[in-house]
Amino acid sequence: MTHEQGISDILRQNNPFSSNAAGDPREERYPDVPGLGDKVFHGIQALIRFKKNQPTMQCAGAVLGEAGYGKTHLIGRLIDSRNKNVVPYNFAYIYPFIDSHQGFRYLLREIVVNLTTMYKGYTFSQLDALSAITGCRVIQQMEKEAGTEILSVRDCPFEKNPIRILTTRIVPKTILPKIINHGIRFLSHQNPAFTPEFLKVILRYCFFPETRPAAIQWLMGRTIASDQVRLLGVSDRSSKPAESLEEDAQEIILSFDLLFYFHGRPMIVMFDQLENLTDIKQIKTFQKMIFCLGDKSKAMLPIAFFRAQEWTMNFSKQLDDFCSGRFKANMFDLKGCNRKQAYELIRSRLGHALSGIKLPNDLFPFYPDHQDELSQLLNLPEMSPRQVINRANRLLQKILYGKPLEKRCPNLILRKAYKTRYEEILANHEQYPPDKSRLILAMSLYLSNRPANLSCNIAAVNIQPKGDKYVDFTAQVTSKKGKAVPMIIMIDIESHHKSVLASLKRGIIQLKKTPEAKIIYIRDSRCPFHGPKRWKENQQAKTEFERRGGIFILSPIEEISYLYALALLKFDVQAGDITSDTGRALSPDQLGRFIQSEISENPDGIFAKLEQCFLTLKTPDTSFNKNTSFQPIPESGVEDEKITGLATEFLDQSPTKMMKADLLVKKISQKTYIGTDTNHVVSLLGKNRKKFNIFRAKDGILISLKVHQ
Amino acid sequence: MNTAEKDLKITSLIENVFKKHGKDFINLKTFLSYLDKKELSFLQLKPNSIQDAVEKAISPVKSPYQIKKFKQSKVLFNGPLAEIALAYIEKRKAKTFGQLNKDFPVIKGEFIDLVNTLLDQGCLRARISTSEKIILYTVDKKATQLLTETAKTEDADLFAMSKAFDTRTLISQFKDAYYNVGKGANYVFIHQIRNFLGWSRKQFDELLYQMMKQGYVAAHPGNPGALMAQEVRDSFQDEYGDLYITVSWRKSV
Repeated sequence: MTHEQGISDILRQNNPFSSNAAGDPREERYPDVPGLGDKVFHGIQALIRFKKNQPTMQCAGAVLGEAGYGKTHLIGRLIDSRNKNVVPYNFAYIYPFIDSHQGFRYLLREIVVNLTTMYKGYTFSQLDALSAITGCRVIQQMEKEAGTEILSVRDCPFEKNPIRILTTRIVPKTILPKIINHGIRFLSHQNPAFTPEFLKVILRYCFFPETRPAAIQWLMGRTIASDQVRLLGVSDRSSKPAESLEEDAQEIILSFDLLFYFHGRPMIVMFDQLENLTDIKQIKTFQKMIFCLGDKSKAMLPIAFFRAQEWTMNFSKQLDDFCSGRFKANMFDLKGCNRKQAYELIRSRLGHALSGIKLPNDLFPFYPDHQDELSQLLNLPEMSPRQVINRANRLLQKILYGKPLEKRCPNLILRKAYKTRYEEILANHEQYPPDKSRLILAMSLYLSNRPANLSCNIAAVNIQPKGDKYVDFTAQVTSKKGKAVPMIIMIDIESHHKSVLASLKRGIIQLKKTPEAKIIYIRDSRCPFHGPKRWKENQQAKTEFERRGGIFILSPIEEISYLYALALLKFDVQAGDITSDTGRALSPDQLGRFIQSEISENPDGIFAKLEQCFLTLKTPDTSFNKNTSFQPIPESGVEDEKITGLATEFLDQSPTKMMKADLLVKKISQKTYIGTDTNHVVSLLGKNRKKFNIFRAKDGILISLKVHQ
Repeated sequence: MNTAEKDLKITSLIENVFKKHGKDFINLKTFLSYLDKKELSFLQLKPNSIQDAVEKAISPVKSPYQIKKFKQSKVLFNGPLAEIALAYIEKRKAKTFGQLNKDFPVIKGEFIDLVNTLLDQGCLRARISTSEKIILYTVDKKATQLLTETAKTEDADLFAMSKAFDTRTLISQFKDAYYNVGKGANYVFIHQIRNFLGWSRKQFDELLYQMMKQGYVAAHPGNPGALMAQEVRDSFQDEYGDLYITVSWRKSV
C-alpha cells in the first residue's frame, strides 16, 4: 500500500467532511478559520466591554445567520475566549424554553446549569469561582473593619487563588455563621437590591460544602424538600403559587447580576435555536426575558442567535418595537467564507483528520489531481461554511470511492444525531437536569407519531388538559381486540413531598372513579422518591396507587435520557441544525417519520418500558390487521422505472424544473393510468438524489429536477 | 465690482450654502443663518433680515435657482422643480405619496402636478401598497425600455442579451428592487424581488447567478418549510441543486 493509499484509507474511516453541524457549543469543536466570523466575534467582545464600562446602559445583541453559517461555532468561540478577553466574562448558553408560563424559572435554571458545570480544562465551575471570590471579599472586609486578621495573610492563599477557600478548611468553623451574617450585611449595604436569602445561599455554598447540592437546587428556583430548606435556612417555596415562583426566579437572576457586577465580570447569556419559539406566548415570554436581562441588569448581556429568515418573517414582526429595537441597535450579520477562507476551511478539516501524518500537500487528496474540480465547486465568492463542507465532501467521496456520494437516508442521519444526543446527556447529565417540559415535549412527539399497528392503538391524545395540573396526558388506548380504555400519564420531577403526594393522590382518585383506566406515573430518578422513613405518607400513597393498578415508573437516567434526547433532537431539527448529505436541513415531518419507523418499531429505554405498560392491555385473541394505517411502500420495479422516466420528462418540460408533488403525480397517473400515491412517488424520487431534489414547503412537497446531475 | 462678477459671487455663495445644508431646497430664513459676517455685508443683509430682503439680495442671479412661497416661508430651490422633486423621491425610496408630500415644500396641488408630470414622462412608477397607499419610486427610463423588450425574448440567452443590454443597468434595477422590497433589511427574499421585477425566469436566474459569482450579492439557503410552494419555486436553485431563499447586497454597482 502506498503512502497516498494509506491516507485515503484514513479518510474513508474518518471523513472530516461528513459532519457539518457544530453540535453542543460547550463541547469540542473544529478549529477556527482565520478571519471567518471575526467581525461578529470582535463586535460582541466590544459589546461586553461596553456593558462593563457602562453598566447602566441598556443593551442586547443579536446575531443573524442562516443555518450553516457558523452561529453555534461562534458561540463555542465566545465561550472559549471568556478568560482571554480584556474584560473576562461568564457565560450561559440557553436552549429554547417550551413552557411560556415558566420562562424565568427555566432561564434561571439554565443559567445555573451553565454556572455549575465543570468545563473541560477547569477544575472548578463558574459558580465556584463566584462564591469563592465573594467569600474572600467578605473576609477581607471583616478584617478591615475589625482591624485584626481573621486569617493570617501568609497562610491565606486566597488573594491569588480564591477558589482554594472552597476546599481548604482554614476558616475556623466557629466563626463561619458570623462571617455569613457579616457578608449579608456588607453586600446588602453595597447594593440594597440583593435579596438576603440569595446572599445567604451563596455564602453557605462557599463555606459549607455539605449544602452545595441543596444550594444549587435552590438557586435553580426549584421547590426543594423540607430538610434542604432547613439546611440552607431559607423560606419554603412549596406553598407559593406559580406566579410567585416566577417572580422569585427573576429576583434571583437579578441578584446574580449584582454579583457579576460586584466582581466586575459580566455575563453573556446566549439564546440559541430560537426557531423553536413558535407560539406567540413563547415570544412574549422571551421578550420579558430580554427586558429583564437587557434593561434591568448591570452586568448581563443577552445575545440572541437568529436564523435570518426567521428574524425577517417572524421575530422582527412579533417582538414589540422596544425589544426588536434593542436587537437592531446591536445586530451582527454572519457572513460566509470568501474563497481563501473556503480553502482554509477544507485545509483545516483535512489537517484535523490527518494530524501527525506527512502529506504530499496540505490539500491532499484534492490537490493536485482534482484541483480544477475543487475550484469549480467553490465557484462563488461567498459561500456558507456548511456549503463548502458539503461540496468538499461530495468531491472527496468521488475521489475515495470513484463514484458520487451515496446519500444516507434521513432516518439514518436522525438515528446518528439521536444517539449522539443520548450519549451527550448520559456523559454530562448535570448539564441536562430534570426538565418536565422537555419530557412532555418528547412524550407528545412519541405519542403523536407512534404507529397504530403496534401492540395497541393510542388515540385522542390530549396534552396537559386545562384545570388539572397533575395530569400531563389523557388518551384512549385501544387493544387489538378493540376494547378502549382511558389512559392518563403523569410526569413528575418535584422534590417536595407534598407536591409528589398530591400527584399520587390524583392518580388514586382517578383509579377509584374508573378502575379500568391505565394511569402511568413517570418520575426522573434524579428526583429521589425517598424511603418510608422519610416519606412515610408518600410511600403509603404509592402502595395504594399500585394496588389499584397504577403504574409507577422511577426511570433511571439511562432510560429517561431517551426522552430528553428526543426533545433536544426536536430542537435541532426545528433550528435546521440537522442536515442531509446534500446540506439541506431535515424537516419536522422527517423527524415524525423517524419516530414512527425507528423509535416506535425498536423502542429503547423508557419507550420500551412504556410499550410494555401499553401491552398489558393486550388480550390473547387478537385479530388485528397489521396494515391498518402504516403500509410499507410496494416495490414494483417496472412501474417505478416508468414513474421515474415520466417524472423526469414532466419536470424537464416545466420552466422551473420544479413541480408540486401532487400535480406531478396527477400528470403521471393521467398518462399511464398507474394508480400511485404521492407518498410513493416522493419516496421513489427521493431515493434518486442524483437526479431529483425534494423540498418540503409550507403547503406541500416540491420535486425538482437537477440540471447538473 | 461689475454685475457679472456680482452674479458669479452670489452664485458661488448660494452653492456653498446648499453644500452645507445638504438638501436641494432651503427656507430663506435658514439660508441667512449659513452666511458669515462678510457674506452678510456683501449682500447688504443683517442676521435678522426679513425673507423679502434676502430674496431681493440674491435675485440678480436667475437661472438655475428659483424662489417659491410655501405657507409663511419663502423657499429657494437649487434647480428646476421637477428635477429636484425627482432627486428627492429617488433619495427617499419607496415612500408613500403622503409621506413625500409632507416634507417637500410646495403646496399639495403643485406636488400632485409635479408627480403626474413625472409619471407621464415615465420617470416615476407608482404601486399601491397593501394599506392602499400610493408608493412612488424612480425608474431608469432606458432600463425599463430594455426590460420590456427583454420580456418578449424570453428564450434568448443572457450572453446574447448582455450584448444588447447594459448588464450594469439590469443590476442597478435589481438593486432598486432589492431596496424597495427589503426596505433596508439585510436579507431579502428572492421570490419577492423576482415578483417585483417581473422579468422572465431565465433572465432573472441568470442575472442573479452572475451577480452571485461576481460578488454583488450573497445568496443564502433558508427554510423552505416556512414558505409556500410557489414562493419556493420563485426562489433560486443552482446547478448543484443548492436552494437559495434570500439575498444580501454586498457590492455597489
